[in-house]
Amino acid sequence: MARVDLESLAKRFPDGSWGVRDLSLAVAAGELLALVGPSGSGKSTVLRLLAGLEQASDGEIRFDGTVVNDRSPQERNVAMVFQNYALYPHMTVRANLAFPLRMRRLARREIAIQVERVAGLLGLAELLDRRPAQLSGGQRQRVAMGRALVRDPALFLMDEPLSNLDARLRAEIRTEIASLVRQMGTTTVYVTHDQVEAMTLGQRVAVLHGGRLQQVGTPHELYHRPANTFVAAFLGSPGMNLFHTVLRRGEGGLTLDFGDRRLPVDPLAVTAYADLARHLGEPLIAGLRPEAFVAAEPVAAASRIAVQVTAVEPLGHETLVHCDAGAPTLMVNDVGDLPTTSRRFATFVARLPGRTRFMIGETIALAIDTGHIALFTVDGQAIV
Amino acid sequence: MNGKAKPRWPSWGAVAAWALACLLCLLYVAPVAMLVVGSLKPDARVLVEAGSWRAFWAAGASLANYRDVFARVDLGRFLLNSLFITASVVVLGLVANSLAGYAFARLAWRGRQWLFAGVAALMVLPFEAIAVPLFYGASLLGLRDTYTVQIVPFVANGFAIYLFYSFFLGLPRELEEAARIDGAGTLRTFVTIVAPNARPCFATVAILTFLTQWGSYLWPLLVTAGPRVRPLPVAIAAFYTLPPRQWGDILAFGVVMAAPVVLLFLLFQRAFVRGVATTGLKG
Repeated sequence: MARVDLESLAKRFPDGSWGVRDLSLAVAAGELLALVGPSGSGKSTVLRLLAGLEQASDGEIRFDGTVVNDRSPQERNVAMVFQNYALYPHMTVRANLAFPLRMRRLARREIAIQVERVAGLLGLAELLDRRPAQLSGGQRQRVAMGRALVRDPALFLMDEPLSNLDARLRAEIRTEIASLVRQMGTTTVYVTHDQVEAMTLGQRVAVLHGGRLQQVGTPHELYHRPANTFVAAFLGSPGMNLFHTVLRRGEGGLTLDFGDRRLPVDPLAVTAYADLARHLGEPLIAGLRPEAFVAAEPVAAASRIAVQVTAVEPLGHETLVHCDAGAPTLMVNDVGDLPTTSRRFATFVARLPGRTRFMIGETIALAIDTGHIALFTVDGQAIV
Repeated sequence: MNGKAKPRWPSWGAVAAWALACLLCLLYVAPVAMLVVGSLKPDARVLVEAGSWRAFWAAGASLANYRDVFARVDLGRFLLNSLFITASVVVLGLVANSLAGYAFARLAWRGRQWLFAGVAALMVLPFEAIAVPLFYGASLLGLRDTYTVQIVPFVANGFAIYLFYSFFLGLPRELEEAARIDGAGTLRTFVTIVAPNARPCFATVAILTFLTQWGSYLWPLLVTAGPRVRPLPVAIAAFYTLPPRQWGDILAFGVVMAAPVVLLFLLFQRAFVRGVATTGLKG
């Protein structure tokens, strides 16, 4: 168990491109930090830098205060689970599990004991004499976990360990990993592009984009108080709806432009900001989670809008309803390089109860709960 | 569909293709059959029957020619010389070339590209072109008529290095990275992880090296002076000129020379197929 500090960490590849830039981040001893971002965001590079598979171009990596930049992977005592598992194909499961211990020259008896222990922990006892090719995807994943768990590493690194599994197995192993890591108490950095995984597993989540850290915090903080429009649009499924707006002072309080409508801002939302009045009359970006839209509820007519349904995604317990925003320039189109079709077509998504049926083309009345609205400056930074 | 299928006759095209294939097959097999059959016949009949179908008919077969060859020359010695030289080149070559290929494929070091370009260039250089300077070099070092001079120049091989290089490039890098994280150094990673997963490549290089080396003629002819370290190809050439010229004996010599190659092929054929089948590495 180690505390990990990254300070101004940078990695520039020989071709001149940046893997990571100016990354400062601390992982507490025993913490599970999820590193999330779209592909090419640099999250795997961070992991490889931590493992010692890549050399940092600049900055420091410290384990428990000791700089480890120049230490080889062997000397860092980290364990890693690879995306494609990287099991040694010519060895049995037993030999795969024993390999890290053999490299550490443990006594044969001790190795056997440890292998049995891990095999028991992960339910691999029956499979010890098989080869990786004879295992299912889930079993391989378990062996890869076992090989990392078998020695007591200072740091546990996982590189999208669930991405090769089908959805059901992924959910199952996700909970298993969470409980295993908690049980072991080993500091863990978990890389994923799946924000559900990041939110459910990470005690804290760090969002990377373009090699730069966007925000780090608890899943709750990230979801409800995104630091910028990228984090707002990236987290959540679907992400936050972002639209261009202007904050004005009306008769009953502050209002926000939503197309040609003026939505009254819930006083609750106002209290979350230090000095909202400072931004009066300024063009801003406002963010509403899909669940901020409420259908068919008797709310004040002032915050009700009539919109046309353009697409319906029934999920059973809820239905995602894509609505035409009414004005082509209303929605924010490009947030980082996130491919969000709804934005391209000037639509927003509302998360509505699954019981109600919606038809494409129908016009529905939605009330907007502005109590949890997020506000950003036009360059995408959250207003505090 | 139900009912009896009509008896189908092969088309004329298929018949023609088969006939051509059989003819070609005969063409390739005939010399080998003649070699084996001839080696079993009394000496006098070999040339007489060579022009007729009797060349493939081994009436009155005996091993007399074989006894004869072994009595006339030290065939056992030549065989052992060839085996020793070839085996040494194969084994040392596998070690040296696989390590070199790995260094080119995976390790980062200054001048790697340049040196690799040099190795690739060596592949196209015919050995005959450097035989004479090499011969002078060997003479200066006083290495003529030794095993060493027949082994050392052929251990490092550009083509083998290239084969290993491209095979290693195709291995999933994560395997090696996992091994490094698990605590293995570079050499250990190579020995315990890379090499076992490159068996098909090792087999290919071993077979290719064996074949070239077993039939090598020019160099041993230049550097060997007597039967002591002389390999089979030079020995059989000398045997031709050894009076009296007995064709049955010469053919028997040829069979002895070809046998290990055929044996190797039969043994490795399965390894080859299995090797190719298991290259589909899945993580």
